[in-house]
Amino acid sequence: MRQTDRCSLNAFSDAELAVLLAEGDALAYTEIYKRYSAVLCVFAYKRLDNREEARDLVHELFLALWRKRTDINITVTLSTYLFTAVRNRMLDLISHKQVSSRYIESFQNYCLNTENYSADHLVRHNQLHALIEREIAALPPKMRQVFEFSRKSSYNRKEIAAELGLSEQTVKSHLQHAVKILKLKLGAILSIVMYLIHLLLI
Amino acid sequence: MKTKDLKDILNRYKIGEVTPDERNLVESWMLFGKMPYRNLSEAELSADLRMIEKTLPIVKSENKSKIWWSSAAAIFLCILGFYLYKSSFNSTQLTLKYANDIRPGRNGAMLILANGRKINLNEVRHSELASEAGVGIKITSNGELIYTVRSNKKIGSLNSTSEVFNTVVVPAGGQYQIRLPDGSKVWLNSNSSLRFPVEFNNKERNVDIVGEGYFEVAHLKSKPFKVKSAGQTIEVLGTHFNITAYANEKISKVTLLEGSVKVENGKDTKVLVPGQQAKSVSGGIDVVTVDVADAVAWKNGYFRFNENLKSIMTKISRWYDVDIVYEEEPDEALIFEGEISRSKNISAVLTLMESTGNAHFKIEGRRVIVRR
Repeated sequence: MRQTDRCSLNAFSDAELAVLLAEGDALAYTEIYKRYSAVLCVFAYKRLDNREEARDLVHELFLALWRKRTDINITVTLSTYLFTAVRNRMLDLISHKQVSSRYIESFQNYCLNTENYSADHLVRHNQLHALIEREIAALPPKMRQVFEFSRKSSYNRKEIAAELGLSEQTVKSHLQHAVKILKLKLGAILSIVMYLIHLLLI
Repeated sequence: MKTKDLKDILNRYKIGEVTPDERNLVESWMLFGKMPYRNLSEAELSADLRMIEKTLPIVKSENKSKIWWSSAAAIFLCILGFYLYKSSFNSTQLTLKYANDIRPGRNGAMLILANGRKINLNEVRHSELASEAGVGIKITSNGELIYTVRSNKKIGSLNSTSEVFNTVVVPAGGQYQIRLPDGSKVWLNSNSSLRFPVEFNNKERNVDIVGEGYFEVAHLKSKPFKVKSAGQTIEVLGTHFNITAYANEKISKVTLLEGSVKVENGKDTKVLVPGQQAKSVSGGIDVVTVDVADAVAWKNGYFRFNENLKSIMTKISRWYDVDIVYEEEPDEALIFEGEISRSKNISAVLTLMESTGNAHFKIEGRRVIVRR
């Protein structure tokens, strides 16, 4: 199992998190939860119009994600996988209930508006990505920051790599190496500094 | 496109009897269709998320201040990390050189019974091992060897002078903990052995040690506890002390943490008070005041270096079970200071020492080559 650091996990890309999750990494799971729980909740709520149902649905989805972590084969992107999973659960839920008139109306509008719907797989995939971006952008600022920070970090890594003509992996391992050395060197100093800051604050 | 009956499609969707087109349609509607419902407020959303994560196996940060501390620490590390990262470019070979890393030592020892039978203590866990002269020998789940006198045994055998001896041998790359029948505890470091009676039947409690051990001797006024090592005897009443008496080291050291001990080597006798260390050489005994934490760091899982390179490398060779080869004779006057966990691989220890710029290493198999 690969070792992951708590402080560096938010700099991991979705794809890296998916790989770590498949290896059973609890920190990767936590980071995925932090990134996607809010947006999936909002998304489910807007379609179910029932807070409790939306909450349970997201809860069950994440429980299943952990239970089946080593069996799940995420062939699409992590966000696509999660949104598709929520969609399937929502359809399962509403197909077992009395269909409300609001759904029927929404469905009719959707069918009439044929341009929205394309049978082409790639087009639909891109549409989904655009939808996820919109949903993230609509999140409350604090919750949106989780995404922005992670993207910024992996972007910075790419930038460093491009500038130095190294692979991103090399940059990452250099950073990890540097952090390791620092932990060795600074462990004691750091705890003293932190303790002093702590004293100043209280 | 014609409008379709949602109820009908959903009914068939439920039982898996929809056409691929219908499936695509209803699935993309669920994602992209306009819904008239309102949004959740931020407060509602936060409350729901708190409820959801309660029963999920996510790694929680205990409290707010802890999050603050770790983010502060992370920022601090990242800023400094960047400087180090820049400067570490010239020393890429550092990681390559240690491609062949060596794992730290662990609990492990060999028990030799009175009849010569050998028991490998690494392979047994939490079991009754043997019984010697009515004394039960067992291993606890955390790997401590315990000697207990059976309650049904007659105490009347006190005057019998015949004692049955056992020996625990700890190899290089090992350490072990023993609780003697009088309740005294002994921690043995790598390359060390302790010989002791399975029951203390004589007027004195006598044990022999080679190598390094930390003793917490149970107080028994009527029976002094004596530790014998090459050419030296330590007499105690009840106390905590560390002894280093390796056969290949000229000086043996006794460091006292609590109580009182008398060190004797044939030529000289000294009584120690806590915080003192007796250095016994062939000529006599020197007593110095030391930081006792240095002497017992090994028992607490740490290396605490405050010595020259050769002395450090000897400790490393014992714990990692490696041979040390010097390309050049190291400077004896150069003192290295530092502390690091013994549970790390050898590369972590070597990297720490290399960071001073005064030592460089190469690992070849189970040999560590020391360069200038």
